Amino acid sequence: MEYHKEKKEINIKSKVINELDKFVLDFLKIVQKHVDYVVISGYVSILLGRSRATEDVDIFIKKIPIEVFSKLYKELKEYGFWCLNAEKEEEIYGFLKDSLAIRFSFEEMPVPNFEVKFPKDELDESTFNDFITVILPENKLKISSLERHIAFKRYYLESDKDVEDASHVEETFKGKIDYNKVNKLKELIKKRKEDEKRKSEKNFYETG
Amino acid sequence: MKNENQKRIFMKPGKTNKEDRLNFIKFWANYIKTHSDKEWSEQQKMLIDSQIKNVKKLAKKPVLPTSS
Repeated sequence: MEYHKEKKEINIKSKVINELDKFVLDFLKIVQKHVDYVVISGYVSILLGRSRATEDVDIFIKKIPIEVFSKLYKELKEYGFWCLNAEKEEEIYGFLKDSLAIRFSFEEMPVPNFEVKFPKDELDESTFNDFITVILPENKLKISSLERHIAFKRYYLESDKDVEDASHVEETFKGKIDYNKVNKLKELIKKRKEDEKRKSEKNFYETG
Repeated sequence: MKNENQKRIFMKPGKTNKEDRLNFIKFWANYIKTHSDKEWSEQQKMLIDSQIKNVKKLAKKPVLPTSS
């Protein structure tokens, strides 16, 4: 596995493609025809060699109008993907607009599934300018930068599994991680967490 | 065929489950860096494909009628 930092590329051309990779590549082949995307979270670590499986693959897609979403949804259904949250496209699109994640899986098998969401703030939006391309034997895909991946896993999600995912990337790419960037993202994450806590407390007192 | 001159790297056992898991992550990351993509990804394929195979098996199982 070669990381070309300046080209923002990771080359894994000799990777033996597994069933999860196939599922991801099939889904993204359709998605990228309609909208820009970036793969985030657990699958990033798995794609980069982590020895674990997962039940879901998270992606951000750029905010799109319902007309574009409608075409994407239609094509996903034609290829056998189904939405776990609802059937009607207006309802599914409504979830996305409300910053909720929607899930798609293949032919009524709930696992593995894709968790698709719109970016909910500037920090999420900036993922679209902070990605790297992973080159596989026959395909390419876009994942969040290593620094962003580490920062979110270590300082936002924080579970044992998430910290292990971050450690895997840090160990595998030792000496190639920009920790100034990780720390800048850590500060932005800290601010977001404080905002979320404030909103949640306000909501609790208003509804309680 | 294994290269006899290749130095084996051993994994340090952790004192807790958490430490042991992190030590394995370091061990595995080192394996990735010292072996070809084909070698590590074949092992990863085994792990991931077996999980998906199990899910497919479960999805095909008929649902038992519930007793009322």
